[in-house]
Amino acid sequence: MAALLEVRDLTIEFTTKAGIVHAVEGASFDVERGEALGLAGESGCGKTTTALALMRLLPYNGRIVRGSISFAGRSLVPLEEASMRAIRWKEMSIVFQGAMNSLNPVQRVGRQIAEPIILHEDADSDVALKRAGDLLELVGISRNRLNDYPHEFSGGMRQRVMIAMALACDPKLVIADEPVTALDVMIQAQILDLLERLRRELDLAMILISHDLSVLADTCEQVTIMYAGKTMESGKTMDLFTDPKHPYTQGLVGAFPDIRGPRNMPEAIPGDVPSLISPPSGCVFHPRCKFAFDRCSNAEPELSELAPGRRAACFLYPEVTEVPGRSMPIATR
Amino acid sequence: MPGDPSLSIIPRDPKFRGLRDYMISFFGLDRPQWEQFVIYLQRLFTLDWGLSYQDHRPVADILLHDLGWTLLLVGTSTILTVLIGIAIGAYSAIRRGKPFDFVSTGIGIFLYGMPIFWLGLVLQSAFRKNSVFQGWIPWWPALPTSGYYDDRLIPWNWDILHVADAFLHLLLPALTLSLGTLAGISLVMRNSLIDVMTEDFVTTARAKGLSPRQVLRRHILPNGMPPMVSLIALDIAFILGGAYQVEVIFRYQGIGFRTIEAIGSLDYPLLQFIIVIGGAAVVIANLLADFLLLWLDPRIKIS
Repeated sequence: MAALLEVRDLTIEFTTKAGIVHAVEGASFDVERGEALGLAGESGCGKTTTALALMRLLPYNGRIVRGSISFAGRSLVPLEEASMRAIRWKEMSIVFQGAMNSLNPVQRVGRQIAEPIILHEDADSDVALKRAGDLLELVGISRNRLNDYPHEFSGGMRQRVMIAMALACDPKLVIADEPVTALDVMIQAQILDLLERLRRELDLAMILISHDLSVLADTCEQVTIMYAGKTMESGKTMDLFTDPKHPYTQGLVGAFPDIRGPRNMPEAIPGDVPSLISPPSGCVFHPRCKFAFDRCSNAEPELSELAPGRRAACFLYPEVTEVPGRSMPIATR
Repeated sequence: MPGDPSLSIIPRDPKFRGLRDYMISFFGLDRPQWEQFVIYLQRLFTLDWGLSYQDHRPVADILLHDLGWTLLLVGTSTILTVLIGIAIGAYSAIRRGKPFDFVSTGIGIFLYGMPIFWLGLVLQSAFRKNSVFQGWIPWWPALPTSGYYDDRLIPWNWDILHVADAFLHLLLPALTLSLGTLAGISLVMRNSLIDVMTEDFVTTARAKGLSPRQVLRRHILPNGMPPMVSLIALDIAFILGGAYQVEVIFRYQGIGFRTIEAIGSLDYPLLQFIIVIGGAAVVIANLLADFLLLWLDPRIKIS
């Protein structure tokens, strides 16, 4: 059976005054039913854009240039807006970063949670509000708070409300875009536990977007690492973290302090994410890569399969032998 | 506004010396200024707002009459401005960067930048009797350009003829006032909505599968209105204090017209009361706006 979500060669551009921004290029990944996929990478490398494109919610100056998104057997890219609206929230919902601003400040949360239920299931508002109350209890908030406004909740509770809202229509897939970024560590753990529990209980598929690898490590079966709009590496979470292949992944994993290890400052990746208007030639990561050689600045590495389910876009693999005078880089940790 | 009001009432002639002295002591102008001020304050709070130097009637009576006409003018133009301004602003915000937005913003700024007395004069010469346009276009209308209603219809009584005539007389001044302030409303509306549109909860609303119209009505507009309310309240208060230019140009004898006249004739009691009314209007309009905001935005609390 085909995967629930199949994204192939997804390429997204934004037209801005400064030029065309190549926000995402050739993203490909699958999400199986009930499975969680992690999307990781530094800020500004196309994770959120990918998420918005999946729901066809790109801002007015963004467009999908090529590629396909197949969701539950339907192709979403050519779908007309009205049919897309019927899929949004009903089958695929999204939890945005910082629920601070993702909830309408002048509407009671009960009404906001009930809104998609009324819209998609033709429920009358009493039934929808009762459902909203059940959903609040599901995420650990008393149903007495249905009539409160978002500003009357704390940050963590607002994110819970947002999650409750995302579950309102029993979607098949929930996209969580940086769901815990603005929260403190204790609340982060609670929210992640909640997501994990709900995912198991409701058999949800989930895309978890984060720049924080530790967030993904706990939750996701698969991880895709993105950099400057390109997919660098993908694979099973454990494999990827214990044995990162791509130098960028190695850098990300290496930048993480080890709580039991020696008290050194973790190693950072030098430099910044490049401009997406005029990305570097060849491999986008080569200006920051400590293993870069001539070919990296001339040609672009394909995303190639290293092992079943494990892919990386780097000239170091699999034809490592082609590199003269250079030993294969090994993740040292 | 320095000067001796008695001189504008009584001819400058020794014959009238006695009358002038009488007037001066009648209005208390021979007393020390601080004493005059204390007396004024005392009378202000006992609802005795004084007599006009010019026509010796209580200023409250004069201004009550004027206020009615000014309210009619300002009310009509405010309703027009707010409705049209909000509609244009909302539509430009949705069509940001598209031709409608450019054209409406351009015309709006053009009218906003135009001095209102000039706009009034242009409209008068375009719609007066025997205007050049009437030579070119046979059905081009001629509208009354001064007064509340036709002098031949005096005295005023509430029949259809009078009301229709008053309406015709209202058209040009109301139009002038509306055109001059329209851009103020529509541009603030446009910018306020554009600000709201980039908020995350609007993306959430779209992600829920709502149609653009539903997103606008349920999520964008309720969040875009609060800045409008404050703006409209201030606008009304200011215009109430006197749509001076429009009222003078169109000889529309409301508060603004009366103010200019009172300045000309050094009618202090009248002016003082107009200023008090203006101040009260600003305070009351702001108070009402605050109550409205309290209802519109649950985040605002009285503490």
